[in-house]
Amino acid sequence: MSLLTTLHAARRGITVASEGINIVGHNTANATTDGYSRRDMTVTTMYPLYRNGAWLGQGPNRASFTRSADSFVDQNMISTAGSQQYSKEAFDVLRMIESKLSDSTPGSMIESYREFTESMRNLTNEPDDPNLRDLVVVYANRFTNSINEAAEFAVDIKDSLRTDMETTMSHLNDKLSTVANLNKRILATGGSISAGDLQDQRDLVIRELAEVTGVTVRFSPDGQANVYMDGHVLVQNENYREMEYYEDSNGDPQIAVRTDAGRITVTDELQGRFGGRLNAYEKVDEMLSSLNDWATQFVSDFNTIHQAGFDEGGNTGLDFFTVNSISPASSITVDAGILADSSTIAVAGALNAVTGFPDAGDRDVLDLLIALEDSATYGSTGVYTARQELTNIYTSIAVQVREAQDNYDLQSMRMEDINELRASISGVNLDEEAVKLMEYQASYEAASRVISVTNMLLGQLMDIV
Amino acid sequence: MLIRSTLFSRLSYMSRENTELGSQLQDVQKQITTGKRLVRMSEEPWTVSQIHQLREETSVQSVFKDSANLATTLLSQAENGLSQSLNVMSRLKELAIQASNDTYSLEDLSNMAEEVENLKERVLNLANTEFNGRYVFSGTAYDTPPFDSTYTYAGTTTEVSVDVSTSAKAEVGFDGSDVFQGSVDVFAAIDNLLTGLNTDDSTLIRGAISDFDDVFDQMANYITRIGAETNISEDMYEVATNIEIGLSQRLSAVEDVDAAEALTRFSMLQNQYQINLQLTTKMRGMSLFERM
Repeated sequence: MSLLTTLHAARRGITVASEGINIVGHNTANATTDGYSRRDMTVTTMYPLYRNGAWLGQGPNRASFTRSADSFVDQNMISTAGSQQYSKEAFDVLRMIESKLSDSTPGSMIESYREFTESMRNLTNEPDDPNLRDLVVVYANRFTNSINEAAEFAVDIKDSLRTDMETTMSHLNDKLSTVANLNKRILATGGSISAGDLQDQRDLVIRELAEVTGVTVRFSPDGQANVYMDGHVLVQNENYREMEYYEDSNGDPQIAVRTDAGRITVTDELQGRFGGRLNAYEKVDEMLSSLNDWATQFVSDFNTIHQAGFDEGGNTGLDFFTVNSISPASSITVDAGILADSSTIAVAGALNAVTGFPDAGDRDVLDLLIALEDSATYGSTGVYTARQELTNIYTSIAVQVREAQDNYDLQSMRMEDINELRASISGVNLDEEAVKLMEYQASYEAASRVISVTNMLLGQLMDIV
Repeated sequence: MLIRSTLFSRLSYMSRENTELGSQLQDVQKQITTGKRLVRMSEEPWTVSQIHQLREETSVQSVFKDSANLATTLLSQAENGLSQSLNVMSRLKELAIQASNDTYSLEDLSNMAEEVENLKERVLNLANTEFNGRYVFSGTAYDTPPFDSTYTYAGTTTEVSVDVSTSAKAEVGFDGSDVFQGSVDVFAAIDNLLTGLNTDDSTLIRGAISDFDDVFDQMANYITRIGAETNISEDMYEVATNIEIGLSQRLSAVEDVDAAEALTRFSMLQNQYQINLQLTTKMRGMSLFERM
């Protein structure tokens, strides 16, 4: 027996207990830290000493610090985060469009179209009434303004999406570089407690990347994280490849992985904020294109008939609306002549041979203009009326918002589940930590008492000498 | 069932639930304050087309109602003008019959001629009946009086109609030349009578009597027509009103909120929200650390 061996064993007990208390402190202090994975300490017994024909225990030994994490759950959480952001972003953008179209508000596109057609029908009662004519101009103007606003809003959204992608790109590449750098440091620090902290930090950065672009990750057994975009490597151990933004020949935004050989476009596979925005971008583009087609056809049909009519001054060949072919929905407007003077609305079908002016009650052309409302020639299949085609634009946005919302709800539910699963594996349970704290405290106290007793015995031995 | 649950996952669960409840509360609140069941069209995209269609139909019917109203007013003016013209015609015929008896002196005939002159002016004024600047016997040129001081027709021969339903029209402006100068020209007939009276020409006077009978028939026909047009307008006004009510009921069924249901839902959500808030604050003390 050696009292000194006992003393050393107790000292080791104190060391291990204080390290345990440190772990409990680290865990409880980080209990609310985003992405934190609980630390555990593995303790084994020291190899015993053989003295004088007997094995002497040497106390405990802290074998390792472990980070409680399940790489499969973490990988899934990161990809789910990308899908969740995708649906959230698509929903947010489409919701903005929906509120801009604002179906029932006076002044919205559909309502002002209705007001415009109603004002024309009112004019049939007294085609020469200047007040009724003025109202037609007022509502026509309000209607074209509402189309301009909807179209310009769509264009603004497209621009802001482009700018967001372009300006975020360098920030994203910084993040990729950070992941690669952290991989390197994690490998260098081995199994120390700081390796776990670095892993937590790195995983948070990867999650941010996933939330923006929808990258996926694979963790290797040595603690390294490899990041992929649509199967293409972005980060492998300490190496990374940058992403880049460019616009294709149509001016549409594209995202690519930059390689030595050039670039690999991954736009269609993007998830996360970018993917969601691009999805919304396509929907906005479709809406804008439908609106442009609508405006072009509407102006052409309306003007063709209007040109055949006569205004109060006996003039003919007049346009009611003007539009340019580059951006019809943004440019549709009431003709300046009509805006300035409502008597130039050409509602009459003929001139009175005697007076040289149209008769007050001649509304032959007005009737044709009103009949246009029932002409089902709109839409790609040409089976909708002008109003029905506008309704189609509304319905299509409403359906897309609904889809995006349902998808967002679904992804959020998945995210909640996976968050709870992760918390059950990696989260800090305060009760558990409190119990551990009690255990380490008791162990520390007991080891201290052993040291004190051994010390007393050694003192008594020394006194004998 | 999860093996381990942490205080923080429980708290963040409560936080998410409260956010969700808060957003549901806000939606119901909006429904109650706006009276609309559908706050956003994406809530029920399949109703968008129906709502737009109903609103458009309501707008169409409201114009038909206005048109029918206008038609009734204009037609009553036209009817009034013609009824009074008939009275004048009766008086003219009466005078002509009197004058055709040879017992009147030249002075009597001259007095009669004076009255006939006045009655002619009266017919002119009645032929120029207008409502709010709109002449009912000018055809489509209803902004100009149909007859000028020379009794020449200045209107058009095209009748004016307003649309009182998708298929029905009501004629509201008539061809004055046909009404007053159709098979017999009322002013020419009166002139004949005048000449007859002034020259004591009994043939002319008797001729005028027969003309007045024709004019009378001519105008009575128009009064019948106007009556029929008025019936159409009144009927169509009723029809449009009924359709409008039906449409507004359908629209209301689609987009309006049931207030009682919404208020009950609001109270339920509010209770749930308060329970959740209490639960959240109670969770704070549930840790062994609190007892160490």
